[in-house]
Amino acid sequence: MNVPGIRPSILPQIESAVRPPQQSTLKEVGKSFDSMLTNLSQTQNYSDNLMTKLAAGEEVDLHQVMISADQTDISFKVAMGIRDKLVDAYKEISRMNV
Amino acid sequence: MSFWSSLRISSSALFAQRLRLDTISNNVANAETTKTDTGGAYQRKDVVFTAANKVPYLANLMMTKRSIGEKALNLQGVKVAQIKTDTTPGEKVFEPTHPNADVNGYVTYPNVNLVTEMTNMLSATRSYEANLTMVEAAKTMANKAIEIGR
Repeated sequence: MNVPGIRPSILPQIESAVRPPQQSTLKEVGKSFDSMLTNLSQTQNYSDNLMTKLAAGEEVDLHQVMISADQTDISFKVAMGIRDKLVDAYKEISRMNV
Repeated sequence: MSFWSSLRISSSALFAQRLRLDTISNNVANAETTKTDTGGAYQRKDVVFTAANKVPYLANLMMTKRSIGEKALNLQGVKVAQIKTDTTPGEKVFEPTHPNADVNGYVTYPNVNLVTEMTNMLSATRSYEANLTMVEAAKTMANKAIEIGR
C-alpha cells in the first residue's frame, strides 16, 4: 500500500527560511549573544513599563501585563541557558591538557 | 521566537473576549433604561468578531518578527470588527405615570433579555479561560524547550 508522507504546504517556505549557518568565530558568537542580551533588556523594559502603567492606574489590559512578564521570564531563561552553554564550552577548553 | 506568535494570537482573543464582556456589562447595566441620548429605550449591543488580516494591536508587545507559521498561514488572531446595535423592538408596558410613557401610556423597555446576557457572559468567561489555557500551553512548551539544554 502506498502511504504518502505528510507534505504541508508551508514546508518549502520553512526550508528557505532556515538557511545553513555561516562559519562563525567565537567573536561572532559573542556578538550574537550580545545582541540577544540587548533584545532581552528591551523586553524587560517593555514589561517594566507596562507594570508601571498598571500600578499608575492607566488603561492597560491585565493579560497584556502578565503575558509580557511571562515573555520576559522565558527570554531570561533562554539567555541563562545560552550563557551556561557558553561558560561550559569555555571551561571545557580551559581544562584542555596542553 | 516562534512561541511568541501563539501568545500574540491568544492575547488578541483575550482582548476580544474582554471587550465582549464590556458590552454585556453595558447591556445588563442598561436593562431598565427607558431613555437614551438618541431618544427611545436602550438597545442592546453585540460584538462582531472577524479574523484579523493585519498584525493585531499587541504587535509591539511581542516586538519580534512574525513567525513562519504566522506568515505562511496568515494567522493573525481575532479582532472586533464592530459593535452592532440590536434593533429588535423592546417590550411595551402600560405605565401611564412613567415620565417616559408615550401618549397612550405605554413605556418601551430595552430589548435586553437577562437570560441571554447571562448565557453570553458565561460563554465569554469560558472563552477567556480557553485562551488563557492556550497561553499556558505555549508557555509550558517554551519552558520544556529550554530544558533541552539541561
